[in-house]
Amino acid sequence: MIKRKYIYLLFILLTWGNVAVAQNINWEGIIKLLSTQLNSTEILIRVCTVLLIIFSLFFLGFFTTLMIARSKHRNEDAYRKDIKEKYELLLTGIIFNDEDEMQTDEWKSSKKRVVEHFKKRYLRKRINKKYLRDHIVLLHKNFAGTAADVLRNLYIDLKLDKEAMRELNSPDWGTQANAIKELAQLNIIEAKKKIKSRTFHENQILRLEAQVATIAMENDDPFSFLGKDKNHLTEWHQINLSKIIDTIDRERLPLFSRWFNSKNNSIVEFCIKMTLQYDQFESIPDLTELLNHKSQNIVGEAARTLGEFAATESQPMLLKVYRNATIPIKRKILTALGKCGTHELVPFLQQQLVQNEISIAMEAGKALRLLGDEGIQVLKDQTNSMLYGVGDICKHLLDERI
Amino acid sequence: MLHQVIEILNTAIFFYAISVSMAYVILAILSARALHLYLRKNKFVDHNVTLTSPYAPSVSLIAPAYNEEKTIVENIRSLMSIHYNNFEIIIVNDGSKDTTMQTMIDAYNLKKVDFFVNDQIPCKHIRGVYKSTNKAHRKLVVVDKENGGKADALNAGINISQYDLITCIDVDCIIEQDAILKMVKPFMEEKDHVIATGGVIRIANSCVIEDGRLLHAKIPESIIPRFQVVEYLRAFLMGRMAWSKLNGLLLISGALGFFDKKIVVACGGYNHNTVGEDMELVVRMRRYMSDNKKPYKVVYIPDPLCWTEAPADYKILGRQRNRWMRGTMETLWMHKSLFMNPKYGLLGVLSYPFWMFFEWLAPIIEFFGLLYFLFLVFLGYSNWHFFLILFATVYFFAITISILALVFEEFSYRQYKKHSDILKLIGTAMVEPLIYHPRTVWWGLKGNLDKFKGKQAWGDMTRAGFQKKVIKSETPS
Amino acid sequence: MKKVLVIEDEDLVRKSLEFRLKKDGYQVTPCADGRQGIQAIENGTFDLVLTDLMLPYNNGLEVVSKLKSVSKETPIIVLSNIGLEHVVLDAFNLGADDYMTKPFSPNELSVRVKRLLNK
Repeated sequence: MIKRKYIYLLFILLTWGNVAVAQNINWEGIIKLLSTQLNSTEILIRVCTVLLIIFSLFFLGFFTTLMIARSKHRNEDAYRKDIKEKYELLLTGIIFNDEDEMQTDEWKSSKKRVVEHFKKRYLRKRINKKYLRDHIVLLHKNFAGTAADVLRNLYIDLKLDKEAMRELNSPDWGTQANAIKELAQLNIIEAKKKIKSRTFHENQILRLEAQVATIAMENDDPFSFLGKDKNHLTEWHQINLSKIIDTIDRERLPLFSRWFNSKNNSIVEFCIKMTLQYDQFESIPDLTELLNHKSQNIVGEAARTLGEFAATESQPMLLKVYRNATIPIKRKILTALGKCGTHELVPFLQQQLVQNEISIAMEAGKALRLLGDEGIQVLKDQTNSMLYGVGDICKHLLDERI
Repeated sequence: MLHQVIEILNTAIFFYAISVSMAYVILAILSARALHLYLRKNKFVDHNVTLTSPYAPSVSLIAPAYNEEKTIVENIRSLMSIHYNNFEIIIVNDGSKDTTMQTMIDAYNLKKVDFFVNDQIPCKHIRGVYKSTNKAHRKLVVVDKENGGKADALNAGINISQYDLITCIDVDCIIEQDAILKMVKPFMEEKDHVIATGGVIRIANSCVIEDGRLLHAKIPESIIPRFQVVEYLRAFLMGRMAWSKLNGLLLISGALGFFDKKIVVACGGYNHNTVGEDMELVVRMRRYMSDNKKPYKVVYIPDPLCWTEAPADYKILGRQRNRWMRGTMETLWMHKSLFMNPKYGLLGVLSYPFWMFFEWLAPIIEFFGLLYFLFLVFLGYSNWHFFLILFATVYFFAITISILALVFEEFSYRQYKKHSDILKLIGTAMVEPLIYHPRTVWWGLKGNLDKFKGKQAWGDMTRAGFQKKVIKSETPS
Repeated sequence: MKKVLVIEDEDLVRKSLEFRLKKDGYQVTPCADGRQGIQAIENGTFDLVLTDLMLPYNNGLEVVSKLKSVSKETPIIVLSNIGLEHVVLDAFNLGADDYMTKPFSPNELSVRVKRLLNK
């Protein structure tokens, strides 16, 4: 990192050099020439000469940059490879050698030895610390149980958490976000207050990491940001949040319908998804109400969730909303009806199957298939339908290999 | 009188050269910023989140195949090992004359199924849709259709696809395994409606390729692909990155692109009537969005995700460039109403004119510029001093831009690891304007001529094939 | 000595698994990708196979189906960071004997391996 600064410096120097050269050229003279009788070709020649000098200097500058960067990068690569092998050996040894004998005195003294060994041999250089942290994080991601505890203890014993804590104050959002990720992975509780304060940060990535970390570590209302965040939660954001929610205890989960009346539509969508993910059946009435929401996405999500919950009671509302819905929503409602409907729906679905919008017919057919024997019988009856596409759709749906 | 005409022409040529240079400088600066931001943003992104999430978007991957019996099984296998969960692979056999279809049926135990084809976009007759009986190959769908060309095959694939995102690829490209993970991210992440994402194409000649995977990137041994390495780095890392930043990207290579199917279908799919169907589709999709006053974005991913074998001799390369030129001309012509049309915003006032002046007309202008100087020499009017210095300036500018592209590569992806590689590339960049560039100008010009003569055909792209260079890995002990 | 084949592309994890299983007294053959794994299955016999899902060349599901076609009796454990229902079901449908999601506890894995080998 430090060396890169030198390269930038070199860049600046070269640019500055170019400017200096350009300044040495007799601009006044050129302007004078422009204003006098000199013919245009002569001026062009002079301008070209200046440009030529500038370009060739830039060329030399880039060339030097390239050569320096290349050898620097190569050295880094070689070093990283070397240190990686050492760390791998050491870390796997530590995790597994003493997994069973963790509590014994022998282990404790050997642990001390390991820590000392690490400190003395490998952690003098800054860059080594960084690599070691990365390695520990990577391993910690993959392991649970005692192995993870061993890694975490080693991380703390080597005071690597202090490094990460320091990075939380970095002016650079990238460094901060990375540190948050690391601290959350290794569950360093002391950091949580600082991290929580970043949950509304203007930088989207930092905000996301802070929210993820807060969910992972905070016990005291970790989801409070959902009530306040005015920013649009992108799908990417939602995926990341849902991923972390998946790792925490079910008892800590709130009832997500709490935020169904949020003005931020993306938060409502997210909460519907979470309601489904954690089977919060008690929110079915609230979900049914959401079917009248202005946002089409929310209506679609609500319908999908009601379907997955097999909420038969929402059937009348789904049918009511269906009438004036857009085609994508109609498709979602049909899918939902297939999952939560009863055989009484067969005539309705049959009617939808034979109308002329192909994408709707397809979903209606799928819904019929889900309804069981009665629905499948309809599909079988329709395989010879003369209507455009209907017969083929039915055959498609009845083909179990697809 | 003649003297004055010459003065004026000289000035015109000079200003054209200056404006081209300025355009490239601006693009380079924009690219540098966009690339820097992209790398920063993605440095600690964990793509596993997408891989393991049930909310990851579902993707239909469409690959047309025409006379690929030798490589098809291998290619499908490598597509199936792409790291993604919610996706299907649709191979469209575009009426191959060899045994491509039978080879696939045998290799993957395919059985014909009663597939309902939603013909939302017109395409040639589909003879049948096949699926594998082996559950491990559940993702695979094979479509057998009558020959209709690449655009037609892609359209058939779109009709078969079940999911909302489609990705069109060349079946003989080497696609990195995390390609889908990286390319779907903009669709999830951008607030605006992303209608398409494009990927970088890299040159695979001389690279170590094993069973459809790229192990080591190497500089091509022969000079022609090596020129293209420099050319592609420049075009992708500098050009398209900047256009993506400006949201003015016009071209997504046919070798790897992601599209929102809804919009593709609404626009009518790929156009059969052009040899530049990839560019034409993007322009049409953009136009559609503008016409409907919907905000949108076309995003470009700079990671090296797709490797392709570049033509290794001038004849085939010439044909390819000739075709590109015709494709560009056709697209520009079909959408001529975009030109300087403020209704289309940046697309009309910047992207379109840029493509017109610097992609379509550049070879013509360069060629006539050269003719003009020869003419002057012939008449004895030439100012050698001016000529030489202009030439030197343009030359130094060209190699500066090329080497800057190499700097970008060095600070971003560093695919070529050896120390000597960088020297080879610099050397290539230094001779490129002298040896390679004049040829591209000539091919571009020929493309123009052919277009005006009314040539339509694609021209065979004979490939040397990866087969020969496959190095068997040692079996594990 | 029982023979275990370990297919995992992440270097650190593969080495850890190798280390742990060796400590438990098995003979371990490590493979870094699906193709090597399939070749190993073709060329040798194993008492148990442990595979990741997202692998270079051939994915884990192909490894499972290959193993089950060569020797139906050999148990196979899938070890993956993917917990998606349809993926897990696919793995079991193809004949996987056990499925563990990452992060995993090496102790637990060790017990599961032992149980499958003693069946």
